[in-house]
Amino acid sequence: MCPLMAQSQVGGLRGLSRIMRAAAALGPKRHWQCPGFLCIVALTATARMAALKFSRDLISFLVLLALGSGAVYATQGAQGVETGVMNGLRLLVEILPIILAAVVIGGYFQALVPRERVAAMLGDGSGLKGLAIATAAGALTPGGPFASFPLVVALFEAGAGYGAAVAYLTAWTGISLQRAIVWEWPLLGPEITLVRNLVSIPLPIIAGLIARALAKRFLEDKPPDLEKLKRNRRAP
Amino acid sequence: MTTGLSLIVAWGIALALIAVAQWKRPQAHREALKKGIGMAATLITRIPVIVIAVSLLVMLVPQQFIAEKLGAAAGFEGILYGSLLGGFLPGGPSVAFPVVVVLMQSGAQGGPLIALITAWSVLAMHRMLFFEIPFMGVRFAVLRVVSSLILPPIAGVLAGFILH
Repeated sequence: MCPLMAQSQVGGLRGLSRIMRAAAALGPKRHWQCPGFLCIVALTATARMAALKFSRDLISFLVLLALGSGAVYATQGAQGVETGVMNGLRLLVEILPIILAAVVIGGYFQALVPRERVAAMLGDGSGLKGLAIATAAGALTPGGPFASFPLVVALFEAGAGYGAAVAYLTAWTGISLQRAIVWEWPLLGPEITLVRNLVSIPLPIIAGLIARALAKRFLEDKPPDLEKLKRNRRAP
Repeated sequence: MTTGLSLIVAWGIALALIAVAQWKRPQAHREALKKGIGMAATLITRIPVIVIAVSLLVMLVPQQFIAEKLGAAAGFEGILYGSLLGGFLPGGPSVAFPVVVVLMQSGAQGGPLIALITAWSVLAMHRMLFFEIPFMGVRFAVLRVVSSLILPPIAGVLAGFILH
C-alpha cells in the first residue's frame, strides 16, 4: 500500500503543477484576477487529488479556497477577490521567514530532546502542574502573534499533550506583557489593561482542562495528524 | 506589524538550538535536517492554499454590523457581541486596538470591550488558523478553538464584576 500511495501522491503533485501551468498559459496576467479561474483551479485540483487519495487536509483547504473565492465574488465582485488574494499573498511573504524558523526549531527540538521527557512534563497525564508550566511559559514568551508558534509545534511533536499545547497558546495570546505596554496601556488606559490581564490569568488553565477532556473523549491518544505527517515523510 | 520581534525571537531560538546541537551532539544535525525537511514538505503545499483561502473568507464577515450592535448593547448581551466581533477581527494589534478605541469612545462598556480583546487574542480565527491548521492539523485547531470559546465571556463577566 505504501509504494502505491507514494506514487499517487507524486501523481497528484504533477497533476496540480500541470493544471497550474496550463492555466497560467491561458493568457496575460489579468487572468489571475478572475475569480472563476481561481474557482476552477481549486475545484479541478480538488477533484484530481480526491481521486488520488491526496492528503485530506489539503483537499479541505482547496475546497475552502474554492468556496471563499466564489462567495467573495458573489458578494463583492472581482475587485473583492483580488483584494483578498493580494492580502493573502502579502501575509504569505511576511510569514515565510517564520515558517523557515519553525522548520529549523522543529527539526532540532525533535533531534535533541527525548520524547519521554517532554511527555512526562507536558503530556496529557502531567496533571495541573503540566498546565501551569505551559501557562507560565506562554505568558513569558515575548513577540507578536507568530513568535512562539514554532516552539509549540516543536513541543507538540516532541510529546507534549493537547492540554499543555492549548494552555500555552492561550496564555501566550491572552496574557502578553509586551502588548499590554505597547498597545493596551496607552490606548485604553490603566484600568482596562489591569483588569483584562488579571481576569486572563485563569483562562489558559480552563482552556487546557477543557482541551484535555475533549481530547480524551473524542481523539485517540496519539495525535493523528502527527501520524499522518510521519507517513507523508516516509512516502517520497 | 509585530512580526519583526517575532522573527527575532523565533530565529533566536532556532540558532540557540543549532548551537546546543553543535556543542553537545553534532550528529543531531543530520537527524534534525531529515525531520525538518519532512516538516517543510508537508507545510509547503498547505500554507499557501490556506492563507489565501482564509484571506478571502475573512472578507465575508460583516464586521461593521457586529460593531454597531456592540456599541449599543450592554450587559451580557454586549459581552456576547464583543466575543463574536473579537473572534473575527482580522489583523494584528495595530488593526484591533484602534477598533477597540473607537468602540470605547462610542460608549461600549468595560465588560464587552475586555471580552472583545480576549476573543481577539484567544480565538483569533483568521490569524491563528494560518499557522494552526497547516502546522498542527485541523483536529488540533478545532479542539483549541472549541476549548477557548467559553473564555471571552468568562473574561467579560469577571471584568464586569471588578469594574462595577
